[in-house]
Amino acid sequence: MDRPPTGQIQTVLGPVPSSSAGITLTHEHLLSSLVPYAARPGTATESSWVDAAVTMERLGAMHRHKYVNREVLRLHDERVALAELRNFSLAGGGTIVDVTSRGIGRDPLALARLARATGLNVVMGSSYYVPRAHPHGTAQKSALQLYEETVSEVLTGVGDTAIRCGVIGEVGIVAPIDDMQMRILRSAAAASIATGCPLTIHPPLDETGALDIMSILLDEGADASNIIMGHLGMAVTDRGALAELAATGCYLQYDHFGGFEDSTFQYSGKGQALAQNDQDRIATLEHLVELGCEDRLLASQDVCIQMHLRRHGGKGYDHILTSIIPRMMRRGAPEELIDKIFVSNPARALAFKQPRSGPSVA
Amino acid sequence: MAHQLRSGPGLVQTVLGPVEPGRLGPTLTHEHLLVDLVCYLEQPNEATGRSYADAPLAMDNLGATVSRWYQCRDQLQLLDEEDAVRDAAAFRYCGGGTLVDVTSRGIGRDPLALARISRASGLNVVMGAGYYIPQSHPPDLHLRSEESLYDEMVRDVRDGVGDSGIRAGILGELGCTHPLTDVTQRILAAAAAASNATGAPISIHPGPGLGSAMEIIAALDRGGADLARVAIGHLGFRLPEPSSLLPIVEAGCYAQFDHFGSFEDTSLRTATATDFVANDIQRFDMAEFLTSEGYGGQILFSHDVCWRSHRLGWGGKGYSHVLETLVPRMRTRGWSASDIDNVLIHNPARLLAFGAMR
Repeated sequence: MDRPPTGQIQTVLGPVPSSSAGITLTHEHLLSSLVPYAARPGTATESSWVDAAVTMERLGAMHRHKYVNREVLRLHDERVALAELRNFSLAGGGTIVDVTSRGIGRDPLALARLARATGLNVVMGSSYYVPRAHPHGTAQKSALQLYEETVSEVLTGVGDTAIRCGVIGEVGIVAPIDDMQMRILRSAAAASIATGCPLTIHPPLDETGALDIMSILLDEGADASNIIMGHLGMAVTDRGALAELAATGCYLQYDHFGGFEDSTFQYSGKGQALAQNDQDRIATLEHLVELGCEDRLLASQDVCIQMHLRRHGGKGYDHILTSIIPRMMRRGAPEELIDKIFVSNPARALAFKQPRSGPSVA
Repeated sequence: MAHQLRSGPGLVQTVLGPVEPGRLGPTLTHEHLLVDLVCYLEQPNEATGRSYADAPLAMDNLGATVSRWYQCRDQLQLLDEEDAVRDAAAFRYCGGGTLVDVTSRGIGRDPLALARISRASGLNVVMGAGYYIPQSHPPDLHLRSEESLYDEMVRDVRDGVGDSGIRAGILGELGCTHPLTDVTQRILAAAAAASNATGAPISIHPGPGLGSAMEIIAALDRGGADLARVAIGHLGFRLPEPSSLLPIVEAGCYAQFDHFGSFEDTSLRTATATDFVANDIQRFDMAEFLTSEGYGGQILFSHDVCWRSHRLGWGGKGYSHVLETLVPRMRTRGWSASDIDNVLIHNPARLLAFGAMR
């Protein structure tokens, strides 16, 4: 068992110095399956959408049927992933984190092939996504088992592939945080402490869950500067709650750029659409700079459904480079800030920290 | 078709003749069934940017052509009548009754096609008159007098367009600049007079900013127009504070939020402006504010379908989004049935019913 030297990033092709990461997207999916999110169709019309392919003719209506449609939720085609990913590397990208965790189609060998084919640094995730996506048997695992399997994925690799995880997550947590999710969080914290590997979190989209998770992780002894809190444009929109979260010292990640502009997207059924758009996200980043958080800001696109891909009408993996950075600069963002959000902050966030001995995992 | 009845006070003038306002049903007051907006086409400097100019809209360029809408000819031309019928029928099938095609002169207004689309879809269709923004004007328009513009508008409403016998039911969309140019001033003055002479309502496409709306309202007022017969469109496009919309409704005009569903993507920009697109949530916030201030009787909703990517067959939401997606959302946001009916049925009917000739 070995671990990357402190200060290096663990990619699917081995450790690299964090200074070589370049422009980095910290929360993406190259290959994944979010089919666990699919809802059961209630009507004949909905049933007709279950397996319908994403075509130009269907694209406009997909937004209303995406919760029953399985195709939209699948990023299964490696050739498609390669073509889409090339847009990111050709636009100047250097590193991409595939936060696909256990249960949603994580694919170590394919990620290694994509890294070689594109020349990009690709970082792979560990641990578990939200409960509805847990593989069969997850609920029976003890905290110790969960800890040991995560440590093993970071230090020796996934299964017999010898391909190692470079982040723990995305750890998917929904409210309320039950015993099972508590075990996953604690074991993830312990594994991060023991290996120095960064944690990346998908919190509940309910304003308070992200802060609750920080308390749990910090109680466990985790290092706040080794934690990336994601989905903040949806999870914590209240400025007061955001300031409280920022005070914990974690990385603050706005990872829905480009893919979640349509206000029908996260329509909660309560008359509230949860989705911020790119304009709000940029404004929130500017607000956090004013709060003095510029060294802990991250941005990404969370490409995870077919409609996010360029070939299906979306903006692809290069939207931040081709559209958002120019927009931020037009709004007056200094070059040093752009460098921080897209280069030096992610490099520091992804670099392995010094391992420590943590609390025993029982 | 010359035998068709002319509309009178209290009636709505559709392309197939006058209709009682009580028979309109859910109504969209600002749409385009067929339109040609090549007047917006610009050539980018970069070679790869120019490749969009003549590229047909396809799934793999759809994401990029939203922000490049003004560089892509295929986005700007809705010329296919069958596509129009399909999307119009989809609106009819989800309960729609009436659609106002505000395509004015110079951007492809097509009276006979609108009559065919109306028959094929079963929708009431109201046709526009007057002129869109200056870049779409016929080359000699700046030479025309106010009187000649007035005569033309009155003829379109009273006698029909050309020899088609098909009459316009609204004056607009009148495309305005800010500040108003001489010719747009003459167009507004002619429309004010034509509205008084015929009883037809007026539909406005303002320039950027609320200052433009107020400048237009002042010009129409000087021309003697009945401001209660005027819809100010495209509100919310520049993300104003909801309270700043009050002067528009206080003047008596309708406040028209006509970009529902079609303009959600904030990467939308022009050559000179970015970050100016409200989304449906913000449009709701503005409309709810005006309702709470007592102006629920002056609010209109529409989609302004005008690009190919707004079509159902090209990734868009067509004319159906308000009825299919937004009405359920309005209910869960706490809108009463009567507030919903006002915005979708009664307010449009009141706007579109011809007033007394003055």
